[in-house]
Amino acid sequence: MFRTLVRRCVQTQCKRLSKLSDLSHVERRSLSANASTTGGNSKPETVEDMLKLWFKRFSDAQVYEPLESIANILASTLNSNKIATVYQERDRKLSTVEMKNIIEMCKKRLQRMPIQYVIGQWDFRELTLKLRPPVFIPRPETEILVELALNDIKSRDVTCILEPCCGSGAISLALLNLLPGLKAVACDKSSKACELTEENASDLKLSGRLEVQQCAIGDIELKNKFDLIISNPPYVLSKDMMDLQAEILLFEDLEALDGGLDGLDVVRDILGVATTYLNRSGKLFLEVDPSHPELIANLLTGSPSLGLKFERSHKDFNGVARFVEIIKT
Amino acid sequence: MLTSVNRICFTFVRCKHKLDYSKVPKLVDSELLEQHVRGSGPGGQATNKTSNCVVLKHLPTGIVIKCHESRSLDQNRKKARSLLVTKLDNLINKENSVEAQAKLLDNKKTTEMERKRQKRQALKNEWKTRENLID
Ligand SMILES: C[S@@+](CC[C@H](N)C(=O)[O-])C[C@H]1O[C@@H](n2cnc3c(N)ncnc32)[C@H](O)[C@@H]1O
Repeated sequence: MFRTLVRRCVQTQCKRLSKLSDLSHVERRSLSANASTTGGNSKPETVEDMLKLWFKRFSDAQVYEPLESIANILASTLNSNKIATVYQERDRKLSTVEMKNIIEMCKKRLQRMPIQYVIGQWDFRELTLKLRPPVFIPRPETEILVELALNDIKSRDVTCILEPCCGSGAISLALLNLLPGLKAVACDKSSKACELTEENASDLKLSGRLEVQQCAIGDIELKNKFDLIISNPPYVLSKDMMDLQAEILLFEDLEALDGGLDGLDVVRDILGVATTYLNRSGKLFLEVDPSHPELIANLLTGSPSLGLKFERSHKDFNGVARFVEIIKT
Repeated sequence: MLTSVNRICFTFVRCKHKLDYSKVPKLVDSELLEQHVRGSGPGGQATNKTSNCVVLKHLPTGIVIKCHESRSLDQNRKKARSLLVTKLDNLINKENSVEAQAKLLDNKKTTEMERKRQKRQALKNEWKTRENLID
């Protein structure tokens, strides 16, 4: 029901979204000019032919980020995670099989499937992670959350961390990858998320130091305490859910984003877990909605029995306070 | 792509001992302005966007580096920083910059290789004449 409604909104949403794309207008114009001068009737053969053809088709269909979309599809066909490869190999002739795969991927993109699901992977910090619907696609902001935790971990003795709401496993795996002495327990209530975390862990040869538990964070039972808890829980306010990008609404698990009326439903559960399972002076790092740092600070001052002190908030790369640092007293 | 990276690393390692890194400038965080082009909108979970362009400005010189080469924000940030160091190194140290040194070394190597090639060719010709293969 909700998704049919969403589908109806897609067209208008996409119009608005395509305007947001930061692709320079000059680049856009030169590409479409080229597309028309090459005739467009001759059969596409090379990487560049496909780039031009599908840039135009995606633009016409008002797919968000039309150039990035086809460039990423082509890069993945060329087995590269860098768009530059597409331009370096622009004259390469594509085989029939490659063509077929590209067209299949493009069709998915036309249906608004996020590009990360279309190519089945994306990069997060130093790692390339496998991704598939409906498991949440890691966002770049979360790379900053990892950075905050990294700086903290380097400044004290941290051996074991807990990550509620692990999704694809991005956060835990990025930390385990950089810190060879570290162990982690990750939890998610979605079985598909847990499976993907395990798969990514084993692909990256990190499963030996990661334990994955499928349960709602409020119900978790653990044997030991932790030096650090880190999470990017669902935090979107229910009233904002309808304004999400169409491709998010259509393909990502909405329970990965919906944080309830004030966006803090799962955050409250995590605070409870931090009270029970955080070692003294241990820290909790959360990514939240910009409206949350103040709410969380007030909540903690008002509930001294939690034994948690609001240390500070941190800003994301747009200067928006989006991360909170909390310490166990 | 991967092979070209490997190749770069390889040449890097081979000539590393001959390069002088002592003058390479260090970046000071307070002199940097980092911006991320991610369009408007709420960001975070509410946005799914693939381009991760990092714009790094060096305030004292006004040099601006743009990097959107990778799919990861962190990798773009690191790459932007290393590109900035190279630019500053070239600006400040001119012919003593690491890049200039490497280029010089590279040129020397190609002249050396060319010299060897010519010598080989001469020997070959000499041998051919000696064996009466050329009339
Ligand atoms: C925003 S995603 C974050 C995924 C990943 N950590 C990342 O940053 O890419 C939130 C995740 O929390 C999970 N989740 C939602 N409610 C939960 C709950 N009550 N307990 C445990 N996990 C929950 C969802 O399944 C989803 O995978």
